[in-house]
Amino acid sequence: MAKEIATANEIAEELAALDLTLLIQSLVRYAQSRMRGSDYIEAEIIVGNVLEKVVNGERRWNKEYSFKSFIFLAVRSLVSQRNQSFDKGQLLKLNRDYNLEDVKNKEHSDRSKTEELVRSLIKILERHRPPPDEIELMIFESWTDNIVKPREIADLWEIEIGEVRNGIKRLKRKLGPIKDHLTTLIYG
Amino acid sequence: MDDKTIIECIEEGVFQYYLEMDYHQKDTSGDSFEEDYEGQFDKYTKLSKKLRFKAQTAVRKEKNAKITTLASVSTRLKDFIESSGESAYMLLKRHVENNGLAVNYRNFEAMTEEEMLNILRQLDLTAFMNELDDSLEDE
Repeated sequence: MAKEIATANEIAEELAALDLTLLIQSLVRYAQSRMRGSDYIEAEIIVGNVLEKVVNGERRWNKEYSFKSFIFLAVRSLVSQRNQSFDKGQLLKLNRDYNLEDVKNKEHSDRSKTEELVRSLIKILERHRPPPDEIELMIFESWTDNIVKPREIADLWEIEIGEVRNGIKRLKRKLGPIKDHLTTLIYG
Repeated sequence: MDDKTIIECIEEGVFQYYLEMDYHQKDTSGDSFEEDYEGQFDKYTKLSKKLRFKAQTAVRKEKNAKITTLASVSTRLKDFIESSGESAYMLLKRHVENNGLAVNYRNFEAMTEEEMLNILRQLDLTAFMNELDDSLEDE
């Protein structure tokens, strides 16, 4: 599809139609979840910068994407940039995009080893208090199978999408120790 | 799990969750808004208003920019013609030759009024003006 850049008018219309307050909160929550170890203030700064640039035309919306996707992708890329700007040796290496290939090469060289890793991650997850319920575990297993869209997860397990959404809402608070574990595996 | 890493899949799962939430305007009272800290709703509502206001300002600017460009065309063309001694016809011809149009007019001299209008519709006036400015600076 050809690149079609939105006009200022189209951006204003999108902003008028959206529940911006809720969108901003989600963007901040998402950014914060990707920048573990940092508080909401830094996440708010990143989100504020993105929205400001969208509004004044510095960051241009290619209408190939929906406005919502465009904003989320912009925040995601800024958070990644911010995470990458930290040194490997720094505390915030936790936030990097880890490459599991490194782990695989070191100790998990085949598929059964990957499955073993997933099992150990589930064990870590189950140690959380309160423990994850059945739906949260279903979601987690889907993710590790690279099934990441709520709709697809609902179809896979034949459950209501609302249940999936609520499950993710609970599950995302329990992911900290799992990310820590994977980081330890990669960086030692 | 071949090309995507587990951690990336987990991150992607969280990303998709936020992405597919419904953000269409429905409730502005804030009753359904679950605050992460006190004052969050008010803070984001203020920011939303500010952003919408700035977006409207950008709309006005965009409109004004178009008007200004059109309004300044004749004056700037005149200035250029006076200082360079070139004719408006030569300028347009060169611009068309350099930038090309959807239709290739070989017989520029024998052009009908309608053809000329067609070219004018396709002209990027901003680019044309920038071209003039650059030429003026060269002198």
